[in-house]
Amino acid sequence: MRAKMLADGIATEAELDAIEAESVARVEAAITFARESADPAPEDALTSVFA
Amino acid sequence: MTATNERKLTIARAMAEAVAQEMRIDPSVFVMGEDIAALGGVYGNTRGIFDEFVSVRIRDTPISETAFIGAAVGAAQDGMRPVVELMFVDFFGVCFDAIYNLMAKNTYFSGGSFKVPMVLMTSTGGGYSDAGQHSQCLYGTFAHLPGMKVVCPSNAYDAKGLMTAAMRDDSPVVYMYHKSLQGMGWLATEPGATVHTPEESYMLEIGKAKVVREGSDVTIVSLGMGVHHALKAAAQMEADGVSAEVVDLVSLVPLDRDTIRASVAKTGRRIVVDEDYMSYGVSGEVIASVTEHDISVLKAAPKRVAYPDVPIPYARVMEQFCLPNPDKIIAAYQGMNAA
Amino acid sequence: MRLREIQDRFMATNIIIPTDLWEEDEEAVITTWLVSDGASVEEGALIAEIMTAKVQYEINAPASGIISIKEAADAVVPKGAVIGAIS
Repeated sequence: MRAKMLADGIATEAELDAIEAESVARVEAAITFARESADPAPEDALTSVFA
Repeated sequence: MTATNERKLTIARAMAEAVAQEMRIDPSVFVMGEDIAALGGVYGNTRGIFDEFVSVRIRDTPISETAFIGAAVGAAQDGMRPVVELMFVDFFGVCFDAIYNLMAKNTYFSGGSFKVPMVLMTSTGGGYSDAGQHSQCLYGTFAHLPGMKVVCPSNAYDAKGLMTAAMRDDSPVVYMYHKSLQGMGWLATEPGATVHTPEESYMLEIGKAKVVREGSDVTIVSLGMGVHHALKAAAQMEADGVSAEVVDLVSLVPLDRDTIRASVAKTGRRIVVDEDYMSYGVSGEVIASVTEHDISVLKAAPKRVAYPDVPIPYARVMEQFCLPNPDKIIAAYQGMNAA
Repeated sequence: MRLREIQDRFMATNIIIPTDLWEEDEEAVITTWLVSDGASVEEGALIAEIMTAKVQYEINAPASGIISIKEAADAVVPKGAVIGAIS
């Protein structure tokens, strides 16, 4: 996918590197947030099924 | 006696009208599917939309449900409101991961952070010899899995209101329309589905069943084409002095258990008519909803008039043997009293 | 005034299956009436759907008034057939 985007001129190396870096940062932030958060209440299992 | 300003629509026209009206006021609504653009859909439910909106907001897709339904999930999560068609519900197999693992679950997995406001419209039903891979209803399959709302209109008025409600709902809605109710020339249409439909935009509440015929001796619960079988059976039963109440479920998820229970509390007897396979589905769920709630109201054991647990046959006589019909409903009532 | 009344009574507008919608002489089936017998219709409104072997066509009201349906749904009709009238 990366090779095709570069070959077709859809994105540059720099742009793809920036996307990857941003994705890694967001995942790391999410992991940190999860580790530092309290456990959910058991009943929370029944929430957020629908918007 | 004249009916002024009457404007009957077939379900197909009602669906197309709802979508077009919503597209005019909400630029995030767009339509995707096989043959839904220039052709207006093989069931006619997107007719006129391509002429009005052209290109980007209504697009024909390749025959790759996995791709375009997956794309719809992504688009919905990214702020659009796609209306995407799965031409025959029987085809769900190739794209079911996108439907039940992504579309239905991403809101839950994200604790409500992601919304997936898409409408998946799909055709159901048989009776015209299209055989086992083109005639199924599969209501139970979609209703059983958590995370998606499921609706099933029995007439054009409901069809338009449900479609508008579905497009405005922030949750994914599976909109299951029965082929025999659409108004397609190449398939006999149940005339009872073609009813007066207001020209203006309106919504029907998703999750609310309707009592479409009042009665006192027995409750017949159904959805889609089954509602029309039930009404015909009820008319015949009336001639024999039996007063049947008919409940149109309208929605499977959320299921309006209160309306079902109230009706059975009144009549004491229930027959569920379901064109989907009998076991592990809608008919069992409707029966359980009453039984586990209050058995003191029951005057007889429940009956189901459902499709047998067999793949749908191609031979016309075999298929007609399996399908629910008014005679079977009447026989079920008689069986109830004989016991 | 009297002449006009007589004219109105006898000059209802027929709803005719057009002869130029398809080329062959095949007949069509009226698949759906989108108004009821006796309803009030406006000129140009969509009132029925018909179908030949392959294609579905729309029939619009040729005039405004009260419709009287002559051929019911499922009737097979040739080109030029009168399926109703508006008066």
